[in-house]
Amino acid sequence: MRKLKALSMVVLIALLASVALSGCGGGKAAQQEMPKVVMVADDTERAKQLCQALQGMFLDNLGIQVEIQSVDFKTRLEKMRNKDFSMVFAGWGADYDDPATFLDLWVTGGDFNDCYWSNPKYDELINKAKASSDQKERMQALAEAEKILLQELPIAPVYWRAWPFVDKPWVKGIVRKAVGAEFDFKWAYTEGRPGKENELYWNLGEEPPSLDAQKSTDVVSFDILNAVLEGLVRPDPNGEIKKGSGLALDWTVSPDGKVYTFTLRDAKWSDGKPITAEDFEYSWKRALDPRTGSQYAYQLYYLKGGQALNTIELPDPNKDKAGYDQAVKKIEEAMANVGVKAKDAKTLEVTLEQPTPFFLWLTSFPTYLPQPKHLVEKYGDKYASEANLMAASGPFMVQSWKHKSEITLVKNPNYWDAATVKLTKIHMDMIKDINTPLNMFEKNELDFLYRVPGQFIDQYKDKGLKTISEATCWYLEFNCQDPLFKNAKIRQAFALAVDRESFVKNVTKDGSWPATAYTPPVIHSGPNESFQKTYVKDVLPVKADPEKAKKLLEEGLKELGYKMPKA
Amino acid sequence: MGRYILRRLSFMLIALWAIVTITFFIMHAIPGDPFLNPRVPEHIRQAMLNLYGLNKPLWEQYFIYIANLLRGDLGTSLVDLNRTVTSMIATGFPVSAALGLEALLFAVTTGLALGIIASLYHNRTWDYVAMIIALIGISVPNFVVATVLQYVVSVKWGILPVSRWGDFQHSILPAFALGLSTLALMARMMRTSMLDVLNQDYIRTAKSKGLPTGQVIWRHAVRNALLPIVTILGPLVATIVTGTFVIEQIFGIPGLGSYYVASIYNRDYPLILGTTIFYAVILLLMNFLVDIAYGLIDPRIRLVRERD
Repeated sequence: MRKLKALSMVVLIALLASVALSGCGGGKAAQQEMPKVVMVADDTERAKQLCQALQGMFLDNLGIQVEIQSVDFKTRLEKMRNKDFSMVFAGWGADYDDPATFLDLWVTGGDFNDCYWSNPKYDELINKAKASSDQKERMQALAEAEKILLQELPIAPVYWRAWPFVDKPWVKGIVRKAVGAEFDFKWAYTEGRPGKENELYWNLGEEPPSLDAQKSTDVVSFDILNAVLEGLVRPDPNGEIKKGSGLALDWTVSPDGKVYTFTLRDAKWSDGKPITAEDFEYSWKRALDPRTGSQYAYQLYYLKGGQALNTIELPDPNKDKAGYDQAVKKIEEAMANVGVKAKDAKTLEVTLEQPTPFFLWLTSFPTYLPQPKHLVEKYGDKYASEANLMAASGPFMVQSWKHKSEITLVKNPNYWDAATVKLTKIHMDMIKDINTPLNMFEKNELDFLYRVPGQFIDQYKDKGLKTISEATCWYLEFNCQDPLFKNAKIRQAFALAVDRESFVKNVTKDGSWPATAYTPPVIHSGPNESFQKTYVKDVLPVKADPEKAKKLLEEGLKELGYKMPKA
Repeated sequence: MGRYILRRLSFMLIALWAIVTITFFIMHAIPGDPFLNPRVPEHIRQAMLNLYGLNKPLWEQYFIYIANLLRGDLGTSLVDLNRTVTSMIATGFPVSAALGLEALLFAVTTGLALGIIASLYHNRTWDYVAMIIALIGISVPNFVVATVLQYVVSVKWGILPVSRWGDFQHSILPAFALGLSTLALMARMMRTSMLDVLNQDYIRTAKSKGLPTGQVIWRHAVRNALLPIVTILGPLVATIVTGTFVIEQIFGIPGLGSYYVASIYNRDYPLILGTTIFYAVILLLMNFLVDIAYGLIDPRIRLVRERD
């Protein structure tokens, strides 16, 4: 496989070299034809539609015919990881409610920086924000970094996504969140539902791949985990974190912002066993243990020694038994040094690598949710693979799990705040089809219709269609080593050729916003304060600027020695 | 007969081995892997690949897979974590099989009846009616049938549930939508086949001997006309009972069909292989049964040649 790839690379390089040589032989460099521009995109209907719109804008506003290469999702990701693209239409969603979750991506050599972009000033600002615990200073540094990004535009933001939804009038109190799990059902109830009062009919859309908090990575699983598990904190319906909102009754933070000491409340698992600080310590260390194979383990790298533990290499035990045993020994040593300790059954001490102002928020992220040590140890790999092989610490518990069909949640009688929980049952279907949920909604078989597809939006406009804004930005990403896009002016030209307003109005049609900056407005810089609105503001124009775009393109092409394409 | 079966079985094993091998290598040639996720950093992805042995040379992975397969171990899904492929097939197949058999029963009985009627009333009103039904069944795709049924029968008339799976009433619409094209195929084939047989000399002979028409049709015509239909029944059964993605998706049915598609989309290697092997076994088995059924329907077809 690898050899095959190497071989194809050699052939490709040889081809490129021959093309370049023949081009150079033709006369002056200024006579060279501009290389063809290919945009890589997903092969879903929606992605195709969006990309064709962008293609039209490039043709109208730049006079450039861009080719679309539709590939399936995994192929697109592989192309991005291998940096085998010149332009790609991609998106990013927040992991936590802080602008760093977006801006951290583009540091030099960053894990997700696929575009070869590098700017020392940018790196410096991100590092400054990371080391600081002064919120204002952090936000200013991050905003300055974002402005650098928007000047050089290795990525050109296009839109901030929103999802349209309709719900039945009897559905109340569901909390919609922009980051992490999308929904919180703790405060939900139904009032006057025909048939079954205080039951909720919900469509998940698909089977949750894993209800093991430390292994799960997708939003479908997250929504269920958020309902059945509770962590140290649970953000209230306004998104604020208050003491006593979750399993932590109280906490103190050391003056340097690195040591958190949590005091847990008296609470029980749904099987009646007490929830202890040890459950937290066990779960967090389990996520970081390389033997667990947790894909989101990096969410716990904020803990002291977390990354060191997670990155210990495990040799194949069948081939190198001694090496494996040695690695296990190393893991056990590293485990003892990770910054999470159960001082006693009710006290959890957490030590961080550096001050992390959004750490409290992070403790509500699924990878940080506690799991019952006694059951995880008992069931091993089978833990949380069936309804009867797990326990709940949150408002609900899994009553039944018919794979690929339906999950039923019921109220958890052992939940510490059971008095607040009004819903007695949540029926969760896993229907992937687009039309079926609409029909079910019409027949009251579903109470909530999420992600109403574009073609049905008009139909629901007068039936109370609302939108949920996601903490997501979709952008064009340019490979900064591409013969064309290595030039910043050309990247800017493409960014200015996009008519963001027309894009959301005529193409997505779902209430999404034109991305006039990068970090979405729903990301906070403080309580009730949007980072984008307060610090960054609107940097990119909502309308296309063909004149400026063409001028930049012309200059950029000239600098590279290419001819302007014929109009 | 014993020798014939033995030979067929060994051919089946060879075919199966070839299917596994080809699928294995093609599957690894598709770009991407199960842990390729936009949010998972590269070093963690590499650690996952190592942990699951996906960084080993391909031939080594192949031999490990074959060795496990011989022990009856299809492995564990790499995406639906903590679930074995065997348990996924064990939960998905009965659902698909139940739905498929219901659809097949409906399609075969109605389809054959329509075909027989059409042939007996050749070029008369009943023939046209039957063939119009068949034409609709063949030309309208089943997802359209399904959506229209959902809207009309469930939403407008409120007779049956839109979706979900559990009771018999949940299976009526999907079985109808799934069976309609098979019904049409059956009707058309049976009509052609019957017309063919009805023109044969032995039918004329039977009639001239004074046999009652009903007996001529049942004993002589239908039985002989069934032969080409039995031929396609094998692969048809295999396809229909192992689930169709479209119908399962529309009606939210937890059958095997959705596992096939999702496994490829997710690059869930053990699941891709497991479902492929399962489908191949069913298909080979059905073809085998069809060959045996030939002999039962037409005694002239012998499984073993005299000199063999």
